[in-house]
Amino acid sequence: MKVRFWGVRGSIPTPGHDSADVGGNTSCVQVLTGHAEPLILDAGTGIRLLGNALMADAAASQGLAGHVLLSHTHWDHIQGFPFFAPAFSPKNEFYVYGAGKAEERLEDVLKGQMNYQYFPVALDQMGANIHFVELQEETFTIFGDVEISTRAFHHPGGVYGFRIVHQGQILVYATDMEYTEQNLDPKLIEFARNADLLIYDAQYTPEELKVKTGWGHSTHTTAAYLAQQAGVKQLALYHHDPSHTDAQLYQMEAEAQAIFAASTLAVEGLTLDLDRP
Amino acid sequence: MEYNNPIRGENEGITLKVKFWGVRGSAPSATPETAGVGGNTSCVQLLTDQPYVLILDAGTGIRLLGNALVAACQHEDQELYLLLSHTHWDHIQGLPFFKPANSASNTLHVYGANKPQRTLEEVLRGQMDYAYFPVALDEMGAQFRFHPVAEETFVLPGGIEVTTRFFEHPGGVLGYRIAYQGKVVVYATDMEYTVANLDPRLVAFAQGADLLIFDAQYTHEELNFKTGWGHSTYLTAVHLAQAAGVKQLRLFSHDPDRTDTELETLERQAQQHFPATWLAREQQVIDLNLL
Repeated sequence: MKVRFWGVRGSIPTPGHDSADVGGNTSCVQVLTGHAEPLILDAGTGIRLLGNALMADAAASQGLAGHVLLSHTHWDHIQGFPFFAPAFSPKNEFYVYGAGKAEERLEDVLKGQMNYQYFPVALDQMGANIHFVELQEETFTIFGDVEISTRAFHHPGGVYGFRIVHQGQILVYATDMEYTEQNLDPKLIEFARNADLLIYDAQYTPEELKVKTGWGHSTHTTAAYLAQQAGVKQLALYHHDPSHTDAQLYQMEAEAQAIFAASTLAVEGLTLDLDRP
Repeated sequence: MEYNNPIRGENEGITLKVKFWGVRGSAPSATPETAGVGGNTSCVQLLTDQPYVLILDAGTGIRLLGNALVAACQHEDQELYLLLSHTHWDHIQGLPFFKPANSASNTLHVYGANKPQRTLEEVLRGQMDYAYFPVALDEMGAQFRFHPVAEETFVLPGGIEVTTRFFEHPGGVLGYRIAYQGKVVVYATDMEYTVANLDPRLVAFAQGADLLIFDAQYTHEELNFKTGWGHSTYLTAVHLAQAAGVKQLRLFSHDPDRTDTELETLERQAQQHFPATWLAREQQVIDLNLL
Protein backbone atom coordinates (compact mmCIF):
# COMPACT_ATOMS: atom_id res chain seq x y z
CA MET A 1 0.00 0.00 0.00
CA LYS A 2 0.99 3.57 -0.65
CA VAL A 3 -0.72 6.79 0.31
CA ARG A 4 -0.53 10.11 -1.45
CA PHE A 5 -1.47 13.35 0.28
CA TRP A 6 -3.56 15.74 -1.86
CA GLY A 7 -4.77 17.94 0.99
CA VAL A 8 -3.27 18.15 4.49
CA ARG A 9 -4.80 21.34 5.90
CA GLY A 10 -7.60 21.56 8.46
CA SER A 11 -10.56 23.93 8.77
CA ILE A 12 -10.08 26.08 5.65
CA PRO A 13 -7.74 26.13 2.64
CA THR A 14 -4.73 28.41 2.98
CA PRO A 15 -3.43 29.64 -0.36
CA GLY A 16 -0.24 31.65 -0.03
CA HIS A 17 3.53 31.55 0.01
CA ASP A 18 4.04 30.95 3.74
CA SER A 19 2.12 27.66 3.76
CA ALA A 20 2.83 26.52 0.20
CA ASP A 21 5.61 24.03 1.01
CA VAL A 22 3.49 21.92 3.34
CA GLY A 23 0.37 22.70 1.34
CA GLY A 24 -2.86 24.64 1.73
CA ASN A 25 -5.54 22.28 0.47
CA THR A 26 -7.97 20.71 2.91
CA SER A 27 -8.11 17.01 3.74
CA CYS A 28 -7.76 14.44 0.99
CA VAL A 29 -5.64 11.28 0.91
CA GLN A 30 -5.41 8.74 -1.91
CA VAL A 31 -4.77 5.13 -0.95
CA LEU A 32 -2.95 3.15 -3.62
CA THR A 33 -3.50 -0.59 -3.37
CA GLY A 34 -2.47 -1.73 -6.82
CA HIS A 35 -6.07 -1.57 -8.03
CA ALA A 36 -6.79 0.86 -10.84
CA GLU A 37 -9.86 2.19 -9.05
CA PRO A 38 -9.25 5.08 -6.70
CA LEU A 39 -9.70 4.78 -2.95
CA ILE A 40 -9.94 8.24 -1.44
CA LEU A 41 -10.11 9.39 2.16
CA ASP A 42 -12.06 12.65 2.56
CA ALA A 43 -13.02 15.19 -0.09
CA GLY A 44 -11.52 18.51 0.98
CA THR A 45 -10.14 20.85 -1.69
CA GLY A 46 -7.28 18.41 -2.36
CA ILE A 47 -9.72 16.13 -4.18
CA ARG A 48 -10.05 18.75 -6.94
CA LEU A 49 -6.38 18.28 -7.81
CA LEU A 50 -6.63 14.50 -7.47
CA GLY A 51 -9.60 14.61 -9.85
CA ASN A 52 -7.65 16.71 -12.35
CA ALA A 53 -4.79 14.22 -12.18
CA LEU A 54 -7.15 11.29 -12.76
CA MET A 55 -8.71 13.07 -15.73
CA ALA A 56 -5.30 13.80 -17.24
CA ASP A 57 -4.81 10.06 -17.64
CA ALA A 58 -7.35 9.46 -20.40
CA ALA A 59 -7.37 5.70 -20.00
CA ALA A 60 -7.92 5.89 -16.27
CA SER A 61 -10.50 8.66 -16.34
CA GLN A 62 -13.30 6.68 -17.93
CA GLY A 63 -15.21 3.80 -16.45
CA LEU A 64 -13.87 4.43 -12.97
CA ALA A 65 -15.58 2.87 -9.98
CA GLY A 66 -14.07 4.82 -7.10
CA HIS A 67 -14.59 4.77 -3.36
CA VAL A 68 -14.61 7.91 -1.21
CA LEU A 69 -14.59 7.42 2.56
CA LEU A 70 -15.67 10.49 4.52
CA SER A 71 -14.50 10.81 8.12
CA HIS A 72 -17.35 13.30 8.63
CA THR A 73 -19.13 16.06 6.73
CA HIS A 74 -17.56 19.25 8.04
CA TRP A 75 -16.72 21.59 5.16
CA ASP A 76 -13.02 20.91 5.04
CA HIS A 77 -13.76 17.23 4.38
CA ILE A 78 -16.40 17.61 1.64
CA GLN A 79 -15.90 21.01 0.00
CA GLY A 80 -13.83 19.68 -2.88
CA PHE A 81 -16.43 17.19 -4.08
CA PRO A 82 -18.35 19.68 -6.28
CA PHE A 83 -15.03 20.27 -8.11
CA PHE A 84 -14.07 16.60 -8.48
CA ALA A 85 -13.95 16.29 -12.29
CA PRO A 86 -14.35 12.47 -12.55
CA ALA A 87 -17.74 12.78 -10.83
CA PHE A 88 -18.96 14.77 -13.85
CA SER A 89 -18.53 11.83 -16.25
CA PRO A 90 -21.58 9.57 -16.77
CA LYS A 91 -19.18 6.69 -17.40
CA ASN A 92 -17.90 6.81 -13.84
CA GLU A 93 -19.32 5.42 -10.64
CA PHE A 94 -18.53 6.48 -7.09
CA TYR A 95 -19.36 5.03 -3.73
CA VAL A 96 -19.39 7.67 -1.00
CA TYR A 97 -19.19 6.32 2.54
CA GLY A 98 -19.90 8.16 5.76
CA ALA A 99 -21.53 7.80 9.13
CA GLY A 100 -25.21 6.98 9.22
CA LYS A 101 -26.96 9.46 11.51
CA ALA A 102 -30.41 9.66 13.02
CA GLU A 103 -30.78 13.40 12.24
CA GLU A 104 -30.00 13.35 8.55
CA ARG A 105 -29.03 11.09 5.68
CA LEU A 106 -25.48 11.26 4.39
CA GLU A 107 -26.88 11.75 0.91
CA ASP A 108 -28.91 14.79 2.01
CA VAL A 109 -25.87 16.41 3.63
CA LEU A 110 -23.82 16.01 0.44
CA LYS A 111 -26.75 17.20 -1.67
CA GLY A 112 -27.23 20.16 0.66
CA GLN A 113 -23.72 21.35 -0.18
CA MET A 114 -24.88 21.62 -3.78
CA ASN A 115 -28.18 23.30 -3.03
CA TYR A 116 -28.93 25.92 -5.68
CA GLN A 117 -28.33 28.76 -3.22
CA TYR A 118 -24.73 27.61 -2.78
CA PHE A 119 -23.70 25.98 -6.03
CA PRO A 120 -25.05 26.09 -9.59
CA VAL A 121 -24.90 22.34 -10.23
CA ALA A 122 -26.90 19.86 -8.15
CA LEU A 123 -25.29 16.60 -7.09
CA ASP A 124 -27.76 14.67 -9.25
CA GLN A 125 -26.67 16.70 -12.27
CA MET A 126 -22.98 15.91 -11.87
CA GLY A 127 -23.24 12.95 -14.17
CA ALA A 128 -21.49 10.03 -12.50
CA ASN A 129 -23.48 7.33 -10.85
CA ILE A 130 -23.04 8.19 -7.17
CA HIS A 131 -24.05 5.77 -4.43
CA PHE A 132 -24.15 6.62 -0.76
CA VAL A 133 -23.25 4.04 1.84
CA GLU A 134 -24.08 4.81 5.46
CA LEU A 135 -21.65 3.25 7.89
CA GLN A 136 -21.87 2.05 11.45
CA GLU A 137 -18.90 0.78 13.45
CA GLU A 138 -18.18 -2.16 11.22
CA THR A 139 -15.74 -3.97 8.94
CA PHE A 140 -16.30 -4.35 5.21
CA THR A 141 -14.27 -5.27 2.13
CA ILE A 142 -13.80 -3.45 -1.18
CA PHE A 143 -11.87 -4.50 -4.29
CA GLY A 144 -12.07 -8.06 -2.91
CA ASP A 145 -8.96 -7.70 -0.75
CA VAL A 146 -9.03 -4.32 0.98
CA GLU A 147 -10.57 -4.57 4.43
CA ILE A 148 -11.87 -1.41 6.07
CA SER A 149 -12.86 -1.06 9.73
CA THR A 150 -14.61 2.01 11.15
CA ARG A 151 -14.84 3.37 14.69
CA ALA A 152 -16.46 6.54 16.01
CA PHE A 153 -14.27 9.00 17.90
CA HIS A 154 -14.58 12.30 19.73
CA HIS A 155 -15.35 15.38 17.57
CA PRO A 156 -18.28 17.83 17.56
CA GLY A 157 -20.96 16.01 15.57
CA GLY A 158 -18.87 12.83 15.55
CA VAL A 159 -16.11 11.48 13.35
CA TYR A 160 -15.09 8.09 11.99
CA GLY A 161 -11.59 6.72 11.91
CA PHE A 162 -10.66 4.22 9.18
CA ARG A 163 -8.37 1.22 9.57
CA ILE A 164 -7.47 -0.18 6.17
CA VAL A 165 -5.80 -3.58 5.84
CA HIS A 166 -4.39 -4.86 2.56
CA GLN A 167 -1.97 -7.77 2.08
CA GLY A 168 -0.95 -7.63 5.71
CA GLN A 169 -0.28 -3.88 5.72
CA ILE A 170 -2.23 -1.56 7.95
CA LEU A 171 -3.10 2.09 7.37
CA VAL A 172 -4.98 4.01 10.07
CA TYR A 173 -6.59 7.36 9.19
CA ALA A 174 -7.67 9.16 12.34
CA THR A 175 -8.27 12.87 11.91
CA ASP A 176 -10.49 15.48 13.55
CA MET A 177 -10.54 13.99 16.99
CA GLU A 178 -9.78 15.50 20.36
CA TYR A 179 -7.66 13.53 22.77
CA THR A 180 -4.75 14.39 25.02
CA GLU A 181 -1.94 12.34 26.55
CA GLN A 182 -3.98 12.27 29.76
CA ASN A 183 -7.28 11.15 28.27
CA LEU A 184 -6.19 8.97 25.38
CA ASP A 185 -9.07 6.61 24.59
CA PRO A 186 -7.96 2.93 24.87
CA LYS A 187 -10.32 2.29 21.97
CA LEU A 188 -8.20 4.61 19.81
CA ILE A 189 -4.93 2.95 20.87
CA GLU A 190 -6.43 -0.42 20.00
CA PHE A 191 -7.68 0.94 16.65
CA ALA A 192 -4.20 2.23 15.73
CA ARG A 193 -2.38 -0.84 17.08
CA ASN A 194 0.63 -1.94 14.99
CA ALA A 195 -0.31 0.23 12.01
CA ASP A 196 2.37 0.55 9.35
CA LEU A 197 1.24 4.13 8.97
CA LEU A 198 -0.90 6.22 11.31
CA ILE A 199 -2.25 9.48 9.87
CA TYR A 200 -3.35 11.53 12.86
CA ASP A 201 -4.82 14.95 13.65
CA ALA A 202 -2.07 17.28 14.88
CA GLN A 203 -3.84 20.59 14.34
CA TYR A 204 -2.89 22.35 17.55
CA THR A 205 0.07 22.97 19.77
CA PRO A 206 -0.56 22.24 23.47
CA GLU A 207 -0.75 26.02 24.08
CA GLU A 208 -3.41 26.45 21.41
CA LEU A 209 -5.40 23.50 22.74
CA LYS A 210 -5.77 25.32 26.06
CA VAL A 211 -7.99 27.92 24.38
CA LYS A 212 -9.52 25.52 21.87
CA THR A 213 -10.64 22.70 24.14
CA GLY A 214 -13.83 21.19 22.79
CA TRP A 215 -13.10 22.21 19.19
CA GLY A 216 -12.38 18.59 18.34
CA HIS A 217 -8.67 18.47 17.53
CA SER A 218 -5.47 17.04 18.99
CA THR A 219 -1.86 18.18 19.21
CA HIS A 220 1.33 16.92 17.62
CA THR A 221 2.51 15.71 21.01
CA THR A 222 -0.64 13.63 21.51
CA ALA A 223 -0.12 12.22 18.02
CA ALA A 224 3.43 11.16 18.90
CA TYR A 225 2.30 9.72 22.22
CA LEU A 226 -0.49 7.75 20.53
CA ALA A 227 1.97 6.43 17.92
CA GLN A 228 4.21 5.21 20.75
CA GLN A 229 1.39 3.62 22.74
CA ALA A 230 -0.06 1.87 19.68
CA GLY A 231 3.33 0.64 18.45
CA VAL A 232 2.93 2.01 14.93
CA LYS A 233 5.80 1.99 12.45
CA GLN A 234 5.32 5.51 11.11
CA LEU A 235 3.27 8.57 12.06
CA ALA A 236 2.09 11.30 9.66
CA LEU A 237 1.09 14.56 11.37
CA TYR A 238 -2.03 15.72 9.56
CA HIS A 239 -4.77 18.37 9.42
CA HIS A 240 -2.52 21.37 9.91
CA ASP A 241 -4.03 24.52 11.37
CA PRO A 242 -4.58 27.28 8.78
CA SER A 243 -2.64 29.71 10.97
CA HIS A 244 0.49 27.53 11.01
CA THR A 245 3.22 28.55 8.58
CA ASP A 246 5.66 26.10 7.01
CA ALA A 247 8.29 27.14 9.56
CA GLN A 248 5.98 26.48 12.51
CA LEU A 249 5.00 23.10 11.09
CA TYR A 250 8.64 22.01 10.65
CA GLN A 251 9.16 22.99 14.29
CA MET A 252 6.17 20.86 15.34
CA GLU A 253 7.55 17.97 13.28
CA ALA A 254 10.86 18.19 15.13
CA GLU A 255 9.06 18.28 18.49
CA ALA A 256 7.02 15.20 17.54
CA GLN A 257 10.18 13.39 16.41
CA ALA A 258 11.71 14.00 19.83
CA ILE A 259 8.87 11.93 21.28
CA PHE A 260 8.39 9.45 18.43
CA ALA A 261 11.27 9.32 15.98
CA ALA A 262 9.33 7.97 12.98
CA SER A 263 7.12 11.07 12.79
CA THR A 264 6.76 13.04 9.58
CA LEU A 265 4.60 15.93 8.44
CA ALA A 266 1.89 15.09 5.98
CA VAL A 267 2.95 17.27 3.05
CA GLU A 268 0.85 17.90 -0.04
CA GLY A 269 2.16 15.84 -2.97
CA LEU A 270 4.07 13.45 -0.69
CA THR A 271 3.69 9.72 -1.31
CA LEU A 272 4.46 7.35 1.56
CA ASP A 273 5.17 3.71 0.81
CA LEU A 274 4.04 1.39 3.59
CA ASP A 275 6.65 -1.14 2.42
CA ARG A 276 9.44 1.26 3.20
CA PRO A 277 8.79 3.27 6.31
CA MET B 1 -0.50 46.27 7.89
CA GLU B 2 -1.55 49.29 5.90
CA TYR B 3 -4.94 50.96 5.89
CA ASN B 4 -6.75 48.35 7.90
CA ASN B 5 -7.98 50.22 10.87
CA PRO B 6 -10.51 52.92 10.26
CA ILE B 7 -11.19 53.14 13.99
CA ARG B 8 -7.69 54.30 14.78
CA GLY B 9 -8.01 57.03 12.19
CA GLU B 10 -5.25 55.67 10.02
CA ASN B 11 -7.39 56.23 7.00
CA GLU B 12 -7.65 60.03 7.30
CA GLY B 13 -7.34 61.74 3.97
CA ILE B 14 -8.40 58.67 2.05
CA THR B 15 -11.28 59.13 -0.33
CA LEU B 16 -11.66 55.62 -1.59
CA LYS B 17 -9.15 52.81 -1.80
CA VAL B 18 -9.68 49.19 -2.71
CA LYS B 19 -7.74 46.26 -1.29
CA PHE B 20 -7.96 42.76 -2.75
CA TRP B 21 -8.00 39.97 -0.15
CA GLY B 22 -9.30 37.24 -2.46
CA VAL B 23 -9.35 37.30 -6.27
CA ARG B 24 -10.01 33.67 -7.19
CA GLY B 25 -13.32 32.25 -8.42
CA SER B 26 -15.07 28.91 -7.77
CA ALA B 27 -12.63 27.28 -5.36
CA PRO B 28 -9.56 28.43 -3.43
CA SER B 29 -6.39 27.57 -5.32
CA ALA B 30 -3.61 26.60 -2.95
CA THR B 31 -0.74 25.80 -5.30
CA PRO B 32 2.69 27.39 -5.76
CA GLU B 33 1.75 28.10 -9.40
CA THR B 34 -1.10 30.38 -8.36
CA ALA B 35 0.42 31.96 -5.25
CA GLY B 36 1.72 35.06 -7.02
CA VAL B 37 -1.68 36.37 -8.09
CA GLY B 38 -3.30 34.73 -5.10
CA GLY B 39 -5.49 31.72 -4.39
CA ASN B 40 -8.12 32.99 -1.96
CA THR B 41 -11.71 33.31 -3.13
CA SER B 42 -13.51 36.63 -3.55
CA CYS B 43 -13.11 39.33 -0.95
CA VAL B 44 -12.49 43.05 -1.55
CA GLN B 45 -12.15 45.73 1.12
CA LEU B 46 -13.14 49.33 0.46
CA LEU B 47 -11.12 51.80 2.52
CA THR B 48 -12.51 55.22 3.26
CA ASP B 49 -12.19 57.83 6.00
CA GLN B 50 -15.41 56.50 7.56
CA PRO B 51 -15.06 54.76 10.94
CA TYR B 52 -16.29 51.37 9.83
CA VAL B 53 -15.14 48.42 7.78
CA LEU B 54 -16.66 47.97 4.32
CA ILE B 55 -16.28 44.62 2.52
CA LEU B 56 -17.46 43.09 -0.73
CA ASP B 57 -18.00 39.32 -0.53
CA ALA B 58 -16.81 36.80 2.03
CA GLY B 59 -14.73 34.19 0.21
CA THR B 60 -11.67 32.74 1.94
CA GLY B 61 -9.89 36.11 1.61
CA ILE B 62 -12.07 37.49 4.40
CA ARG B 63 -10.28 35.24 6.91
CA LEU B 64 -7.04 37.14 6.28
CA LEU B 65 -8.81 40.49 6.35
CA GLY B 66 -10.34 39.52 9.70
CA ASN B 67 -6.97 38.48 11.11
CA ALA B 68 -5.52 41.84 10.00
CA LEU B 69 -8.41 43.75 11.58
CA VAL B 70 -8.02 41.90 14.87
CA ALA B 71 -4.25 42.42 14.85
CA ALA B 72 -4.60 46.15 14.17
CA CYS B 73 -7.50 46.93 16.48
CA GLN B 74 -6.76 47.82 20.09
CA HIS B 75 -10.39 48.19 21.09
CA GLU B 76 -13.74 46.69 20.24
CA ASP B 77 -17.11 48.00 18.99
CA GLN B 78 -16.43 47.73 15.31
CA GLU B 79 -19.16 48.31 12.79
CA LEU B 80 -18.66 46.14 9.74
CA TYR B 81 -20.62 46.27 6.49
CA LEU B 82 -20.53 43.24 4.23
CA LEU B 83 -22.07 43.45 0.76
CA LEU B 84 -22.63 40.05 -0.85
CA SER B 85 -22.89 39.65 -4.62
CA HIS B 86 -24.56 36.25 -4.10
CA THR B 87 -24.30 33.21 -1.88
CA HIS B 88 -22.33 30.69 -3.92
CA TRP B 89 -19.63 29.10 -1.77
CA ASP B 90 -16.71 31.09 -3.07
CA HIS B 91 -18.44 34.28 -1.90
CA ILE B 92 -19.45 33.21 1.62
CA GLN B 93 -17.13 30.36 2.66
CA GLY B 94 -14.76 32.60 4.63
CA LEU B 95 -17.43 34.03 6.91
CA PRO B 96 -17.26 31.23 9.54
CA PHE B 97 -13.53 32.07 9.87
CA PHE B 98 -13.90 35.87 10.08
CA LYS B 99 -12.58 36.67 13.54
CA PRO B 100 -14.30 40.06 14.02
CA ALA B 101 -17.59 38.13 13.88
CA ASN B 102 -16.52 36.36 17.08
CA SER B 103 -16.55 39.55 19.13
CA ALA B 104 -19.79 40.30 20.99
CA SER B 105 -19.22 44.07 20.80
CA ASN B 106 -19.00 44.09 17.01
CA THR B 107 -21.94 44.56 14.68
CA LEU B 108 -21.89 42.96 11.26
CA HIS B 109 -24.37 44.33 8.72
CA VAL B 110 -24.84 41.84 5.91
CA TYR B 111 -26.40 42.96 2.63
CA GLY B 112 -27.54 40.65 -0.13
CA ALA B 113 -30.55 39.40 -2.03
CA ASN B 114 -33.35 37.38 -0.47
CA LYS B 115 -34.53 34.53 -2.64
CA PRO B 116 -38.09 33.26 -3.01
CA GLN B 117 -36.97 29.92 -1.56
CA ARG B 118 -34.81 31.17 1.29
CA THR B 119 -33.87 34.46 2.92
CA LEU B 120 -30.28 35.68 2.93
CA GLU B 121 -30.17 34.99 6.66
CA GLU B 122 -31.34 31.39 6.23
CA VAL B 123 -28.73 30.75 3.55
CA LEU B 124 -25.90 32.06 5.73
CA ARG B 125 -27.17 30.12 8.75
CA GLY B 126 -27.35 27.02 6.56
CA GLN B 127 -23.63 27.27 5.89
CA MET B 128 -23.10 26.80 9.62
CA ASP B 129 -25.58 23.98 10.08
CA TYR B 130 -24.23 21.45 12.58
CA ALA B 131 -23.73 18.82 9.86
CA TYR B 132 -21.18 21.13 8.20
CA PHE B 133 -19.65 23.31 10.89
CA PRO B 134 -19.33 23.00 14.66
CA VAL B 135 -20.30 26.61 15.48
CA ALA B 136 -23.69 28.09 14.56
CA LEU B 137 -23.92 31.62 13.20
CA ASP B 138 -25.74 32.74 16.36
CA GLU B 139 -22.90 31.36 18.48
CA MET B 140 -20.23 33.38 16.70
CA GLY B 141 -20.73 36.31 19.05
CA ALA B 142 -21.15 39.48 16.99
CA GLN B 143 -24.51 41.08 16.39
CA PHE B 144 -25.64 40.15 12.89
CA ARG B 145 -28.02 42.50 11.06
CA PHE B 146 -29.33 41.24 7.75
CA HIS B 147 -30.37 43.77 5.14
CA PRO B 148 -32.10 42.21 2.13
CA VAL B 149 -31.53 44.29 -0.97
CA ALA B 150 -33.04 44.27 -4.45
CA GLU B 151 -32.31 46.73 -7.25
CA GLU B 152 -32.03 49.99 -5.34
CA THR B 153 -29.82 52.78 -4.09
CA PHE B 154 -29.08 53.14 -0.38
CA VAL B 155 -26.69 55.25 1.62
CA LEU B 156 -24.32 53.91 4.26
CA PRO B 157 -23.26 56.11 7.20
CA GLY B 158 -21.15 59.07 6.12
CA GLY B 159 -22.65 59.28 2.66
CA ILE B 160 -21.30 56.22 0.88
CA GLU B 161 -23.88 55.60 -1.82
CA VAL B 162 -24.49 52.03 -2.92
CA THR B 163 -26.48 51.09 -6.03
CA THR B 164 -27.39 47.49 -6.86
CA ARG B 165 -28.56 45.73 -10.02
CA PHE B 166 -29.17 42.07 -10.79
CA PHE B 167 -27.13 40.47 -13.56
CA GLU B 168 -26.87 37.15 -15.40
CA HIS B 169 -25.61 34.25 -13.25
CA PRO B 170 -27.19 30.92 -12.24
CA GLY B 171 -29.33 31.85 -9.24
CA GLY B 172 -28.74 35.56 -9.84
CA VAL B 173 -26.03 37.96 -8.79
CA LEU B 174 -25.93 41.57 -7.59
CA GLY B 175 -23.50 44.09 -8.98
CA TYR B 176 -22.50 46.95 -6.67
CA ARG B 177 -21.80 50.51 -7.76
CA ILE B 178 -20.30 52.45 -4.86
CA ALA B 179 -19.91 56.21 -4.99
CA TYR B 180 -18.19 58.35 -2.40
CA GLN B 181 -16.96 61.93 -2.70
CA GLY B 182 -17.05 61.83 -6.45
CA LYS B 183 -15.19 58.52 -6.81
CA VAL B 184 -16.90 55.42 -8.16
CA VAL B 185 -15.99 51.76 -7.91
CA VAL B 186 -18.10 49.13 -9.69
CA TYR B 187 -17.90 45.54 -8.49
CA ALA B 188 -19.40 43.25 -11.11
CA THR B 189 -18.31 39.64 -10.72
CA ASP B 190 -19.85 36.26 -11.48
CA MET B 191 -21.83 37.32 -14.50
CA GLU B 192 -21.99 35.90 -17.99
CA TYR B 193 -21.87 38.29 -20.91
CA THR B 194 -20.07 38.21 -24.23
CA VAL B 195 -18.94 40.99 -26.53
CA ALA B 196 -21.89 40.10 -28.76
CA ASN B 197 -24.52 40.19 -26.02
CA LEU B 198 -23.31 42.84 -23.62
CA ASP B 199 -26.29 44.06 -21.58
CA PRO B 200 -26.85 47.85 -22.00
CA ARG B 201 -27.91 47.87 -18.33
CA LEU B 202 -24.44 46.67 -17.41
CA VAL B 203 -22.75 49.29 -19.58
CA ALA B 204 -24.88 51.98 -17.93
CA PHE B 205 -24.15 50.53 -14.48
CA ALA B 206 -20.39 50.71 -15.06
CA GLN B 207 -20.54 54.06 -16.89
CA GLY B 208 -17.74 56.44 -15.96
CA ALA B 209 -16.45 54.33 -13.05
CA ASP B 210 -12.97 55.14 -11.76
CA LEU B 211 -12.44 51.44 -11.16
CA LEU B 212 -14.31 48.50 -12.64
CA ILE B 213 -13.74 45.09 -11.09
CA PHE B 214 -15.10 42.53 -13.55
CA ASP B 215 -15.37 38.76 -13.88
CA ALA B 216 -12.77 37.40 -16.33
CA GLN B 217 -12.78 33.77 -15.23
CA TYR B 218 -12.72 32.02 -18.60
CA THR B 219 -10.84 32.13 -21.87
CA HIS B 220 -12.94 32.22 -25.04
CA GLU B 221 -12.12 28.56 -25.66
CA GLU B 222 -13.34 27.59 -22.20
CA LEU B 223 -16.52 29.62 -22.56
CA ASN B 224 -17.39 27.51 -25.62
CA PHE B 225 -18.08 24.55 -23.35
CA LYS B 226 -18.93 26.51 -20.18
CA THR B 227 -21.76 28.55 -21.60
CA GLY B 228 -24.42 28.96 -18.94
CA TRP B 229 -21.95 28.59 -16.05
CA GLY B 230 -22.24 32.29 -15.33
CA HIS B 231 -18.81 33.77 -16.07
CA SER B 232 -17.22 36.08 -18.64
CA THR B 233 -13.85 36.41 -20.39
CA TYR B 234 -11.22 39.16 -20.38
CA LEU B 235 -12.39 40.13 -23.86
CA THR B 236 -15.86 40.92 -22.54
CA ALA B 237 -14.25 42.77 -19.63
CA VAL B 238 -12.17 45.07 -21.87
CA HIS B 239 -15.09 45.63 -24.21
CA LEU B 240 -17.27 46.61 -21.26
CA ALA B 241 -14.55 48.87 -19.87
CA GLN B 242 -14.29 50.66 -23.21
CA ALA B 243 -18.05 50.93 -23.74
CA ALA B 244 -18.56 52.27 -20.21
CA GLY B 245 -15.59 54.63 -20.36
CA VAL B 246 -14.03 53.51 -17.06
CA LYS B 247 -10.62 54.72 -15.91
CA GLN B 248 -9.20 51.39 -14.83
CA LEU B 249 -10.24 47.76 -15.20
CA ARG B 250 -9.26 44.95 -12.88
CA LEU B 251 -9.75 41.38 -14.09
CA PHE B 252 -11.26 39.35 -11.24
CA SER B 253 -12.55 35.87 -10.28
CA HIS B 254 -9.60 34.02 -11.77
CA ASP B 255 -10.19 30.37 -12.55
CA PRO B 256 -8.68 28.09 -9.88
CA ASP B 257 -6.63 26.22 -12.48
CA ARG B 258 -5.18 29.36 -14.08
CA THR B 259 -1.48 29.70 -13.22
CA ASP B 260 0.30 33.00 -12.57
CA THR B 261 2.04 32.69 -15.94
CA GLU B 262 -1.22 32.10 -17.79
CA LEU B 263 -2.87 35.01 -15.99
CA GLU B 264 -0.04 37.36 -16.89
CA THR B 265 -0.46 36.35 -20.53
CA LEU B 266 -4.17 37.13 -20.35
CA GLU B 267 -3.33 40.46 -18.69
CA ARG B 268 -1.03 41.44 -21.58
CA GLN B 269 -3.63 40.39 -24.14
CA ALA B 270 -6.29 42.44 -22.35
CA GLN B 271 -3.99 45.49 -22.24
CA GLN B 272 -3.79 45.44 -26.04
CA HIS B 273 -7.52 46.20 -26.10
CA PHE B 274 -7.79 48.42 -23.03
CA PRO B 275 -4.40 49.60 -21.75
CA ALA B 276 -5.58 50.48 -18.23
CA THR B 277 -6.24 46.83 -17.44
CA TRP B 278 -4.50 44.79 -14.76
CA LEU B 279 -5.14 41.58 -12.91
CA ALA B 280 -6.72 41.87 -9.49
CA ARG B 281 -3.88 40.60 -7.31
CA GLU B 282 -4.23 39.49 -3.71
CA GLN B 283 -3.03 42.07 -1.14
CA GLN B 284 -2.86 44.85 -3.73
CA VAL B 285 -4.22 48.30 -2.81
CA ILE B 286 -5.59 50.75 -5.39
CA ASP B 287 -6.08 54.42 -4.52
CA LEU B 288 -8.88 55.82 -6.64
CA ASN B 289 -7.44 59.32 -6.21
CA LEU B 290 -4.38 58.22 -8.16
CA LEU B 291 -6.23 56.83 -11.17
